[in-house]
Amino acid sequence: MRKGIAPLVVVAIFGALALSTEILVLLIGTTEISVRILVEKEILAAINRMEFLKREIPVAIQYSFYQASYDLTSRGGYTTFSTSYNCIPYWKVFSQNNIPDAEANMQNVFLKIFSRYTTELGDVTTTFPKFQVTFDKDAGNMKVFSSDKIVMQNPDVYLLKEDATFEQRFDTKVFVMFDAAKDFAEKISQEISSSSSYSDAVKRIGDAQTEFNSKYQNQFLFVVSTDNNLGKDENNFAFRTSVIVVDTSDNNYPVYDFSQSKNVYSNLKLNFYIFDGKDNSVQPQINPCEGIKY
Amino acid sequence: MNLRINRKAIFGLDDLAGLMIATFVIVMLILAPIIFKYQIVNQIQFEVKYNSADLSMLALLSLKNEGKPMPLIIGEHLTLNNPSDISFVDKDLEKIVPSKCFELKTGETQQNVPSYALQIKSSISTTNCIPDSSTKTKIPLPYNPQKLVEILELHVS
Repeated sequence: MRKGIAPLVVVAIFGALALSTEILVLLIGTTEISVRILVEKEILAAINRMEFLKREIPVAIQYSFYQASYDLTSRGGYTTFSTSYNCIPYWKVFSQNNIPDAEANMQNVFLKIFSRYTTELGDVTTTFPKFQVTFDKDAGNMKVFSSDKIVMQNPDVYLLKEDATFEQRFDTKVFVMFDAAKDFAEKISQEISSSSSYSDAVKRIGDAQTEFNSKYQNQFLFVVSTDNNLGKDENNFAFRTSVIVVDTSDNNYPVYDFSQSKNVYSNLKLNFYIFDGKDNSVQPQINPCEGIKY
Repeated sequence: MNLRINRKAIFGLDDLAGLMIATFVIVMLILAPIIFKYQIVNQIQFEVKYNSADLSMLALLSLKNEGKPMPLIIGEHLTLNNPSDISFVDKDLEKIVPSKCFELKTGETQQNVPSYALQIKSSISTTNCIPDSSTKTKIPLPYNPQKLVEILELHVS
C-alpha cells in the first residue's frame, strides 16, 4: 500500500516544484510589469493632463479677455495712470492728447491676466512659454500663441511637447466701443474749440451726444456731464467733461469687480474725462490712482 | 513473487525520472498559459481602469452645452451660480461613464482660499456604486485675484 502511493508522492513533489517555478517566474514577471505599469501610468497621466489643458486653456483665454475688457473700459483704457482723477484718465487736456491705444493696452492686460491663469493651471511638470496675442477685429478672431511649446516633463520618464497656439472667436464690442469713444472725444474737442463761450460749448457737447447716441443706437449709450466753468469768464472758459460710454447689449461678462471685491456679471462701461477750453492757465484736478496689479 | 518483480519493473530509476520530468513538464505546460493570461489580463485591467476616469473626464471637458464649453459652465456655476441648476451634467456623465457609477466633486483647496462646493453623484444606489478609479484636474474660474482655478475630481467605477 505504501509503495502504491509512491508515484503520487513523486507527482505531487514535482507538481509543487513546477508550481513554485511558475510562481517565481510570475513574481519576477510581475515586478517587471509593475515597473512598466508605473512608467506607462505616468506617461498616460501626462498625455491626459496635456489633453485636459488643451480644453481648459481656451476657457482661461475667454475669462482673461473678459477681465481685460472690463478693467480697461472701467478705467478709461489704462490700468496704470498718469493724468487721472479717481482712476478715470483725462483723454485730452487742452491740446495734449492722451487717448489710449486700445489694442496695445488690451494685449498687455490680457497677457498679464492670462499668465496668471497658466501659472495656476500648470504644475511642477508643466512649463508654459511666453505667449503673445493678436486680435483680428474684422474677423472677430483672436490668436494666443508662442513660437515655443508647452512642455510637460518628468526626467527619465517622459517629455511631451504641445503646440502653444490657440485661436478662438472673441466679442469685438470692446474695440468698437473704444473707436466710438475716440471719435466722440475728438468731436467734443472740435466743438469746444469752435465754441464762442462756455454755454455755447456745453450746448454743442449736448448736440454731439445726441448725434452719437443716434448713431450707436442699440449698441452704446453716451452719458455726458459737464462741470462748471473754471476759466476767467464766460468767453475764457475751461471745464471738465465726464464721458461714460455704456454697452447696452444684453451680453454681460463674468468678471471681478475690484470696487465690490467680488465676481459679478457686468456690461462694459468706458469712462474718461476731457479737459478743454480757451483758458489754458487752468489745470485739471488730479487725484492719482494706483494701477491694478495682476 | 511475480507481482514483486513487476512492481520493481514499473518503478525502476529510469521510469521514476521519466515520471518526474513528465509531471514537471505537464504542470508547467498547463500553468504557463494560465499565469501568462493572468499577468496580461491584470495589466490590461489596471491600465483600462486607471485610464477610464481620465477618459471620462476628458469627454466631460470636451462637452458643450448651448455652445458653452463644460469647464466654463461649471466655472460660472461655482462662482456666480449661473446656471443655478447643472443637473444636466449628471445626464451627460451617465452617457459618458459606461458603468453609470460616478461622482464629480470639487477637490480640496489651499487654506485661506475661498472654495466652491460641487457634488454630482450617479443616481445608482450607493451600495452598488463604489468608484474605484479617479482623476482630477484644475478648471479655470472667472477672474478673481484670490482664486483662478478650482480642482475638479471625477471618481468612476
